[in-house]
Amino acid sequence: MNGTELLGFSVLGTAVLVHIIIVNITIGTGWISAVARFLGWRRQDPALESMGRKTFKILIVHELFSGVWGTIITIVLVGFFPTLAATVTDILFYPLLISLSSIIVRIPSIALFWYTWGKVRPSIHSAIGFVMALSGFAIPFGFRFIFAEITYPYAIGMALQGARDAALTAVFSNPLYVPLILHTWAGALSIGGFVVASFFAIRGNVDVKSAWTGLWHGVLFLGAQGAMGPFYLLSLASLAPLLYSNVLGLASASFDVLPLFVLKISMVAVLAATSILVWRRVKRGSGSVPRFALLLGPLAMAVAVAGEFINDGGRYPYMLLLGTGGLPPADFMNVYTSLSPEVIYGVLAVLFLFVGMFVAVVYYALNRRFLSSSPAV
Amino acid sequence: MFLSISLGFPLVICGLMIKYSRSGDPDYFRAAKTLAGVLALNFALGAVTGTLVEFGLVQAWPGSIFVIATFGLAPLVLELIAFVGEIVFLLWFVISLGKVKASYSASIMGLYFAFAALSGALITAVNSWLNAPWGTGSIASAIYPFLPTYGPASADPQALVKLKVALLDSLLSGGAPSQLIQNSTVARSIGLTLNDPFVALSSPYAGASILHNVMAGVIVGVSIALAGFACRYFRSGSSYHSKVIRVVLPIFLVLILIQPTLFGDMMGKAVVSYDPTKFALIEGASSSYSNPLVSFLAYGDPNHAIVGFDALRNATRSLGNLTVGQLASTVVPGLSAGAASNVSLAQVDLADLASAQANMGFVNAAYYAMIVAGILDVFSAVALASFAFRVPLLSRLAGLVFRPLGQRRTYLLLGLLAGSTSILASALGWAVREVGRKPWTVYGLIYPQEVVSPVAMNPVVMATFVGVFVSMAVVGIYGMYVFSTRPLKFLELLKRGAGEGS
Repeated sequence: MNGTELLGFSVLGTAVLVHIIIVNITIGTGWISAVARFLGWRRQDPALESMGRKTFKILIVHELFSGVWGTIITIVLVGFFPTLAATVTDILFYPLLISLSSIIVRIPSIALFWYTWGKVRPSIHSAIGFVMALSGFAIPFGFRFIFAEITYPYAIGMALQGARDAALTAVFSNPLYVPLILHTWAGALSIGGFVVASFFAIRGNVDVKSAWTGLWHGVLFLGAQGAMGPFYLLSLASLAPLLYSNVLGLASASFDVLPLFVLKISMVAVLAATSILVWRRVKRGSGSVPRFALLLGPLAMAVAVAGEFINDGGRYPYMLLLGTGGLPPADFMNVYTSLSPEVIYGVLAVLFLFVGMFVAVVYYALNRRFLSSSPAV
Repeated sequence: MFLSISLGFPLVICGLMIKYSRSGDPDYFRAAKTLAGVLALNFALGAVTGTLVEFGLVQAWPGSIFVIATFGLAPLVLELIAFVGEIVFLLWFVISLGKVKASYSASIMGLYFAFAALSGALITAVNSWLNAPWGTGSIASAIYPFLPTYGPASADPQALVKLKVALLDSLLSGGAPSQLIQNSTVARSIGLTLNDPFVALSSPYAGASILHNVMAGVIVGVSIALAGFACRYFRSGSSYHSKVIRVVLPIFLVLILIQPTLFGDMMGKAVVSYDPTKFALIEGASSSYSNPLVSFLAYGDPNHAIVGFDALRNATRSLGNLTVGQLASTVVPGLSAGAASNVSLAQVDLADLASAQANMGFVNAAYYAMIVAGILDVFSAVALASFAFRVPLLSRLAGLVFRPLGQRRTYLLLGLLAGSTSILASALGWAVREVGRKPWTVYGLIYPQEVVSPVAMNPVVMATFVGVFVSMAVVGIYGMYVFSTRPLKFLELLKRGAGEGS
């Protein structure tokens, strides 16, 4: 990779990482909120319903920002890697259509869920909540086919061999997809749970019952990751041997990410240990929330960032993997024009400045004003 | 519409917050808060339609990826900053409203508006490039002698000709032209196309379009606010609503007077200069004719004939028997045009002119309907302002005409007229802009058939997709309506959600 290719690869990777962090929060909290609302109605438990409302506010302040980073990914992909974008929009037409339809359902259903709370029958409102939550899962359902295809180009390979029409539907049979999407969904649910647990450990928001609900969600799906993670890793062994070698730092590795993998596993261990300690203190909602429960959400997000970096950056120096080799970013890069590095770094600097401002606003919204006084959204 | 609300409501909110800051009257704050909630909901729906446009562009028209990766790259990369800025300042405004000084809130909303306008301007710049491909120099005029030169030759003529020939060859041989750029070998053979990635931003056509289109969006947004408060005033008769209308109205009046006299004129002159077929369609000029008023407005010379399709066809005679293959090999020595080699350029031009002319009835009618809507819009603004404020002579006249109706009915009638004609004029303006560009996607360079996706859409899939989209749009609009008409219920609900008072 030369400097320009590395820059394009890095910019795309950075945008994906920022997007992934926020999206995991919104998918997980959306589900927990919908379930809490449903159970609150079925069990006639106002505390549970109130928890659902509060959890939903975490989603609201993050949702639009996650959408922005989705747009950034699209522009970077199309602008910097037009050949890959053209291939993806053609061969993965139907998966992308599923994601697009899901986005169209997701955003208005968030607004609808927000507004109709208390205004319509609980059964209808719960149904809206589940539409909102499930549409959140359906967005990565479509987009993760792109990641599956650039790691194991099943349909793209068929198209390159002339079977383009068959490839349009064969994309749904990519054998790497199932372990990848299960790993993704379980991760989002786990992160959502831990973020909720952390949120209700913040001074002023402390609520032991709500923290317990978040905690058990997080722990349950962290446990599921114990099966999904190895399932995905073993699938890589047979379908994407180069990425497998890179993850485990084998002799045939092109880019050794084993240290990061070890760090990820260590963070998972710390997360599990912290969860156990919090679990003991929370006592199924009848105990207290220790301050160190605040660590759960950030730790879970750090694990997700490490995992995504390993999956995406671990393919270096290739963009699309082909067994033990691959196609470099240069094969997909924009050869028609280029922006100077000064412009790109300038744009990135402003974007990160806005990320900082966004974090400050979210902190202000969730911890200082938004929940403690009359909300205005 | 969602974009228009994003552009128009911030000005109204700023006006209300400034008024609140000066008067201390809580009604202005209450109105600003209600509009801020609608703006936030609208932003969510705007994000949905924006996503649809973005995906629709690259998925349904994958050939447009080439445009985004070249002339559209710099504007769209800069647009990312504008988009993120919008989100951050909107969130900041909503979170801090009522917690900081009103003047600070007005400033934050002003920053939001600046980024929203910048976003609109940059997207309009890309759309303008499709209407007047600035930076391609004389490529289009070499194919169509009736077209002008589009700025400096920032794009490599050889690369553009290689691309065009490959697209034509694929189209004529029954292939899928939009798939060409999937092939990295083809991409490399086309090579470096654009030397100045910022050239689309220096286009005079883009300059006029940005001012005209962003202003149109602002006007539509402000008029929706005006119409909404007029409806509420008609129902309630409350001084709260009439006070708010008196804040919105001066903003609307200033905008609606600037648009036709300044920005509309600039836009019209840009169309005359760079889109000759569109101008002929607008004026219904199958043949050249004389109209001193239109000629004066268009050319600055009442004696100048309006250039019609006959003159455009005559211009193609200069091509003689030149073929696509001959033109291609002149620009790129040795380049074969494949299936397009022996196609006569003059025949291509005449066929494209005939294709463009087929839209004359629609474009001509839509344009003049837009003008009528615009006139009614100006009338409604002036009449309402004359009725609501003391304007020498005009207020007496307005009083004579509208006093029999009473104040509430007059506000309702003129408010709805302002809202509906603003939306109509804006929608028709966009229809003229887009349909008038046909038969090209990139004016004079690329056809729609060369960029459209080859994936055959199953009718059931398509119907489902459209159904989902329409349902969500209806639900969203209903949500905004309910929110704007029942704001206190909404706030009560949120307080209960926050664990207060439940």
